[in-house]
Amino acid sequence: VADVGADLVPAEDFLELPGGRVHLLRGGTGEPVLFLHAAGGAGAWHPFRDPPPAAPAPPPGTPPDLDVIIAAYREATSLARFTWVPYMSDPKLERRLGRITAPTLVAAPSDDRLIPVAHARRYAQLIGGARYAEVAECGHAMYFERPVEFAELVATHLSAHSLVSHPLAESGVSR
Amino acid sequence: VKFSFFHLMPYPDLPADFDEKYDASALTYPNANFDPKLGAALYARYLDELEYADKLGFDGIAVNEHHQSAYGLMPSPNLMAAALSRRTSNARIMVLGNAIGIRGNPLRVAEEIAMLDLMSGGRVDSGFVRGIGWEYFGHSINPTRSRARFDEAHDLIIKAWTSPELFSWYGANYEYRYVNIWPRPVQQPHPPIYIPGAGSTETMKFCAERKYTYMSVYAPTRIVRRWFDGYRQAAADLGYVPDPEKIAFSVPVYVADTDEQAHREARPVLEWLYRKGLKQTPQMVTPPGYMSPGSLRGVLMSGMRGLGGFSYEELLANGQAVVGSPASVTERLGELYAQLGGFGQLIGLFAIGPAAHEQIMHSAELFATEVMPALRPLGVAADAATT
Repeated sequence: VADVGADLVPAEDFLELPGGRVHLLRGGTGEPVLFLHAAGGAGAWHPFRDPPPAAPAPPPGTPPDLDVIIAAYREATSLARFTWVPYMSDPKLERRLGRITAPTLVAAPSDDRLIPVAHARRYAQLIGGARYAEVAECGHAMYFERPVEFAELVATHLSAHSLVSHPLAESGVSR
Repeated sequence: VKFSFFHLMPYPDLPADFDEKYDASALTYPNANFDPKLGAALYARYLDELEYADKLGFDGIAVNEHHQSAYGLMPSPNLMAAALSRRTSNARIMVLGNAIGIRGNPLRVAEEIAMLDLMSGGRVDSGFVRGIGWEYFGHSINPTRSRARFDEAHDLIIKAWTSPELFSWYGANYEYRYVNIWPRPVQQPHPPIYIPGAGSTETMKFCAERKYTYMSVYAPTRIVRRWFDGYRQAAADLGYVPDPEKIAFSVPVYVADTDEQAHREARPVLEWLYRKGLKQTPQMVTPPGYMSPGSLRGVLMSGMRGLGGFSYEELLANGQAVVGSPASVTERLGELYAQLGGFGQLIGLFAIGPAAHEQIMHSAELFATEVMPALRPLGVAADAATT
């Protein structure tokens, strides 16, 4: 979604983390953005809070690239196929979240301008025993904007809850 | 040529700051701006105008479907057709059309059109449209399914009208265990079908294969010519020459006693239609998946401008409106007939903006008494070969 407007040709572009790295995919040029197709309030471009460095801009006066526009339309179409109805949401989630028994970490970006942080807090409330953590100074694309902080949260959580100590593992339900 | 009087039923009373304050006349334009008392008066007036067109001898009177819009006040064209069925006696009642792409239950369209066919004594024409892009937002229908929903709804409706026995329908978009409609339509095998085209070759082929009437929408003459030629070619590929009546040219028409008066009165009406009534944003018009990538490419490459970008003079020169005295309108429509390679139906958009009731009645009257007789000999089956 982030790479609106180009063929996703994998580029050798990585964010290095302690103990690993994230492979970045980038299409087109300019600031990465998210586009929401919806009436009222959306239907606008939302910049990331702290975008990764942009690819070089085309020379001024370059006409819009038809292929880029068509590719962006294809991307938006793929997204719409899955998320139009219900619109980027799941009305059944409220009652389903309570069924989660695994030790859960809900990690949310502090300054998400697409999905209000209240949603993440609600997840944490509804999932039994869930821990809530916020990544500071971070917009919607948490994994890309603050990969180190995010990876640390996840790694800490996973190492604290090894599968063998999970109740399902003890009962023999788990594989 | 056969002539019909198309009513868009606009809500012309927009606030003075509309241009600055709102980026569209539909979907997000607040309905606080709708005055129900004025709306009720407009409905009464508009139905009077359609009924008058029937008395004047128009071959058809036409209504259409739009939602959440000041551009057209007919979420249900079938209701308007029902009202017209009891107050008119000769004209075809043309529903152009039902937006079957956004209907949750398209079988209802088959039922309602069948009812209308009986109520009108077999005078109903049934148009099918996909629904404008913004209507996929308004009705929460996934636009990526638009074409598939339209095609399946069409097939279902035709089968519901024509199948002599009960059937079940299990499709990707709709499911019915029992299809067995009562009443069935009086016209056999079913009411004539109209499909508007806007350049899609799939639509041209779809219409040509089924011998449906292919109608144009707002576009300059050179582009409409390409569409009509595409339809004629699709028919030729199937080995036949289409009956002229299967090609319908739709265009805004305004007639007054003199050219000077006609232009003076029509200018604000057409400017309202193209700048305000049709004001919409690209996101609204083209939701994701509403067009195929190929069609989008075609539209972008054709260099078609937004409809609001044309001046009044350009609209006239492009054949996107026809305005003048009866003699001038007759002459201009004759020119357009030649430039378009002929057509057998003229769907005149006579009521499109803030024109007064008396102006529209007079325009329709002049057209019926002076323009129609002069143009009627054109576009009948005999001269199909010459086009």
